[in-house]
Amino acid sequence: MDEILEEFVAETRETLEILSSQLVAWEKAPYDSDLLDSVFRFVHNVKGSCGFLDLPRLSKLSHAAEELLSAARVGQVQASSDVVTAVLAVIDQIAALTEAIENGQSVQDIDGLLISKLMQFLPSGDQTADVDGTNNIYAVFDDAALDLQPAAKSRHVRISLNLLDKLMNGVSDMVLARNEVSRHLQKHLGESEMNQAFVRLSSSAAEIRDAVSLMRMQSIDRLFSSLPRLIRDINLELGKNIELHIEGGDVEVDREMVESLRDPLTHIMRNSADHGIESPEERVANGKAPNGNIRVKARQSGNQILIEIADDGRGINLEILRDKAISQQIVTPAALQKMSEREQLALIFHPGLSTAAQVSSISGRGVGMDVVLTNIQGIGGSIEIDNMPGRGLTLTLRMPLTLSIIAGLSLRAGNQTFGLTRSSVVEILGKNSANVQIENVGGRKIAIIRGVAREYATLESIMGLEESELGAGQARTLIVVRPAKGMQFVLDVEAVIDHEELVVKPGAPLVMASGIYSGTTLPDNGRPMLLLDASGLALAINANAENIADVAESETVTNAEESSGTAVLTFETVDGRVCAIRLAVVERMEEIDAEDLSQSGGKLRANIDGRLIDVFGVKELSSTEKLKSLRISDGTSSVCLIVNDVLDMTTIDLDLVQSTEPDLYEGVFLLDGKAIELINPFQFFAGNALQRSVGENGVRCYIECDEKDVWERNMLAPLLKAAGYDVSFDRVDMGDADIVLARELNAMPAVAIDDARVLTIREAIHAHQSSVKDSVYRYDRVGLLTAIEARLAQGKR
Amino acid sequence: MSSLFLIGTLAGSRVAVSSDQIESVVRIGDFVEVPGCSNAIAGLFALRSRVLTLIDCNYVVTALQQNCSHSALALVAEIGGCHYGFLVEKIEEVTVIDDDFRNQAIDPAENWAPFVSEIIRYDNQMLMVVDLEKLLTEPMSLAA
Repeated sequence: MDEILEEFVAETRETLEILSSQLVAWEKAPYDSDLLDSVFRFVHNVKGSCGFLDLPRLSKLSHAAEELLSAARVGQVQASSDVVTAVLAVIDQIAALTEAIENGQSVQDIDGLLISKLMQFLPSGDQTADVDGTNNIYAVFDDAALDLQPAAKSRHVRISLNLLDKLMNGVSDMVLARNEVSRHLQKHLGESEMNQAFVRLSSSAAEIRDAVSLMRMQSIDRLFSSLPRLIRDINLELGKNIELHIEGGDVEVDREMVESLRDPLTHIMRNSADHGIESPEERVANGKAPNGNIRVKARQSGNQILIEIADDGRGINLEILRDKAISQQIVTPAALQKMSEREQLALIFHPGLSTAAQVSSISGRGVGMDVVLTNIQGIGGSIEIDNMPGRGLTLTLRMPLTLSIIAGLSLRAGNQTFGLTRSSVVEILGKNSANVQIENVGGRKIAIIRGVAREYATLESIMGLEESELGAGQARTLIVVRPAKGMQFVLDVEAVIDHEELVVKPGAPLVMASGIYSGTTLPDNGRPMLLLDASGLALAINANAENIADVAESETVTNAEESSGTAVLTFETVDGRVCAIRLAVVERMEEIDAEDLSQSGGKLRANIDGRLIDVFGVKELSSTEKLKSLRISDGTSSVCLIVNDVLDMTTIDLDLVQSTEPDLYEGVFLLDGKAIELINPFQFFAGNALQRSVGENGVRCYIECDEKDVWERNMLAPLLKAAGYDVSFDRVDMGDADIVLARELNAMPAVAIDDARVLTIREAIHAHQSSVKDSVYRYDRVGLLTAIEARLAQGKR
Repeated sequence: MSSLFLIGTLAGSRVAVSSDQIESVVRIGDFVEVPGCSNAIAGLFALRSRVLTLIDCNYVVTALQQNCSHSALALVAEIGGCHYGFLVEKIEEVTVIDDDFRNQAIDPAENWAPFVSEIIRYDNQMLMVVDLEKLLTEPMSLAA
C-alpha cells in the first residue's frame, strides 16, 4: 500500500474516532451548526482526499453526504433525525471502506442505496444531481468550502506501534549495557573525565527511557469516545432508552492497552445494554425509571487501571445461570452445590455459556464473556463481578499499568528477589522493633504494630519457599502493605534491598493465573524480577481478613453485628474450660512474664510497661514463666485476662441461652456441638473504679478539714480515692471542686450551706440525731458514695 | 509443497516443531524461579531486554519436573503476545520435509495427544509434530 493511501486511512480512522461522539450529540441536536460543521468538514476532507487517490466509491459516498449536509447548513434541508440516520449510515460505510482499503478486503456495494436515501432529503430539483461528475459540484459548493479552513495544524507525526516497541526495547537494552559499562568502570576508579562522561550518558539514557514510555501513553478517552455511538445504535435497535455516563476519560494508559481493551469493553457494553437493562415497560413495572443507565468509570489505583462498567439493569439471575450451566453440561449439579456464589457467577466466563433467552444481533452470538476474559487476561488483567440481582451488575476490569515505569521496592525472600510497588507500601519497619508484636491466634498470625492488629505472613510461607539460610541470623523486615482492595496486612520479608524505578511488563497468562503477581520487570542488573500483587497476596494470606479488622478497629464491629452476627474469640481458661469473649473488647493478645505479676492490694496485678494492670482469670500466682493473656479494654482502661490458650475466632448469633450468673456470663451458645459460655466483660471493669477514672474528667472532691484531722485525711480520703475520686484539702481547689465534703462539727466558712455541692457528714448513725437535714453517717461507705453520685448527677442538670 | 521443521528432543521424545512457531533457539543462561505458580513454569529469563517465561515441557507432558540448568536449550516463541522459552533437551537440525511425508491419520500416544498436531516421516522414523501453543493451553486450563 502506498504511503499516501496509508496516511489517508490512518487519518480518516482517527477523525472517525473523534467524530463518533459528536455524531451522537448531533443527533440529539440536529440544528446545532457547530456539530453540523464538524461532520461536514469530515466528509469534505474525505471527499477531497479521495479525489486524487482514485477511490471512486468513497468519493461518491462522501460527495453525496457533503451535498446533503451543505444543503442543511444553508437551511435548504431541515436537519432531522432521519437525516442524521442517513448520514450516519454513509459514514459507517466510509469507515467500512477505509478498513477494507487497509485489509484489502471487499465491502458489499450498497453505496447506491445509501446515496439514494440521502438524496431523498434534498429538494426535488437536486435529486437528479450528478453524483458522478464532481466538477460542477465543486463550483456550487466552493463558498461552503472556503470557510472550512482546518484549524492551525499541531506538530504531530504518526508512528507505528512496532517502531515504538523497537525504540522501547532498544532503550532498555541501552540501559542494560550502561549498567555493564558501569560495572567495568568501577575497576578504573579515579578517571574522573571518563566518569563525568558516563554520568552524562546515564542521565540522557534515563531521559530517553522516560520519554519513550510517555510516548506510549494515551488518554483512555480514545477508547471511550466510541461508546456513545454504540449505545445510540443499541437504543435504536432495541427500542431502549439507555443513558451513558462516562467518567475518568483523562486517565492515561498504555497505547497498546487501549487497543486491547476496545473489543472487550464493547462486548461488555453490548451485554449490559442488551441483557442487563430491561425494556422501558419492564423497568417501569419493576418500579425503576424507564431510562436505563450505564456508567463507565476509569481510574488509576496504585499500579492498576480500573475500569468499572455499572448498569442498573436486572443483574445476573443466578437461578437461570445455574440451570443453564447444568443443562449445557458445563458443571455437574453436585459440583455446583459446592461452589460459592462468586464461583457460580464466574460461570459466565465459561466458553459457550449464554444466559440470554434469545440471540439478538447486538450480543449473545456465541462469542461470550470467555473471550472478554481471555482478552483481559492477555494484558495481565482480571475481571470482578459485583452482582445485585434486580438492581444491576457492575463489572470491574483491573489492568496493570503495562509498560509504564513505576516506583518499586525490591525485596528478598527465600533467596529470591521480588518487586512491590511503592504505592502499596504503608510503612517498613524492623521486626525487632519494640512496637512490633507477632501473635498466634488460633493458628492465624497477627502482627500488632503500635496497637493496630493486621494479618501477618512471611513471604516465604505465601510462596511456599524455604527461608534462606543466608538471612537466618539477621533481623527480618516487616512491610505494612495496603492492597488496592481489602484490608492492610503485614508482610514479613528477609530484607528490603532497594528502591528502584521499574518498567512493568505483563507476565505470561500462566504466571498471572497464580494471582499473586502483577507482572514482571527487568531491573538494571538484567535478572528478571517478579512483581508482587498486593491484592493477590492479601487473598493468598487469608480471604477472611475482616475478622482481624475487628480487633484493630472496634467501630467496624457494629457493622459486623448487623450483618453477620457477633465476632467472638474462643479460648481455654486456666482451669481448662472453653469460654468465649466478644472480639470487640479484645485489644490484643500478649504474653506476660510471671515475674511481672504480683498480688497487691487484694488483687493480682501485672506490671506492664510501668503500669499496673488488673489481672483476671487466675486466682493465685503460678510458677510458669510465661502466661498468655488477652488484653481486654472498655475503651479507656484495660485489664488482662489470663488464658491457657487462644483457640479460634468465630461469628455467632447473639441468640444466647441465658446464664444463671448474668454478671459473669452473657450467656451460653453452641459451637460444634459444645456449649460455650460467653464471658461478660462487664465484671472486669465493675470493681475497677480507680482505673476507670484515670483521665482528665476525674471528679474532684474537696474535703474541709484541719491538718490534724485524722479521720478525713486517713480514712475518708483513701476511701474516696479508692472509689476513683480526686481528693484535695487545699482551699484553692474548693471553688472548682465537684463535691465539697465537710463534717458536721467543722465550720463551713466559704461555701453556703445550701450549695448543691456540699455533702455534710454526720457523727451520729441516724439522721434524726443530726441538725443538718441531708447528711450521711461517716461510716456508711455505700451511703456516702451514693450521696456523692447523687449530687454529681444533680450538678449535671 | 514442503515445510521447514526443527528436529529435537523434547520431554524425552524425538519430535519435530514447525519452524513457523520458532523465533530462535537460545541457551537460557541465568533464570529465576516463579514460586506459587503452576509447575509448568520453570522460571523467567531475560533475552535482550525481554522477559521470557520458561516452560518446562517435560512437566507438561509427563508431570515430572525437569532439572533446569543454565546451559539448557530453549525454543523461543511468541504466543498470544507473550514470549516463551520452551525447554528442550537436544536440538538436532532444521530440515525441510515434503508434504507427502505428513500424515494426520495416525494418533499419537495418549499423553502426547493434546500437544501433537500431526505425525511426519523423517529419516525413516515417524515423528510427532508438537504444537508449542498447545503446550500452553493444558497448564492454563488447569490453572484457571
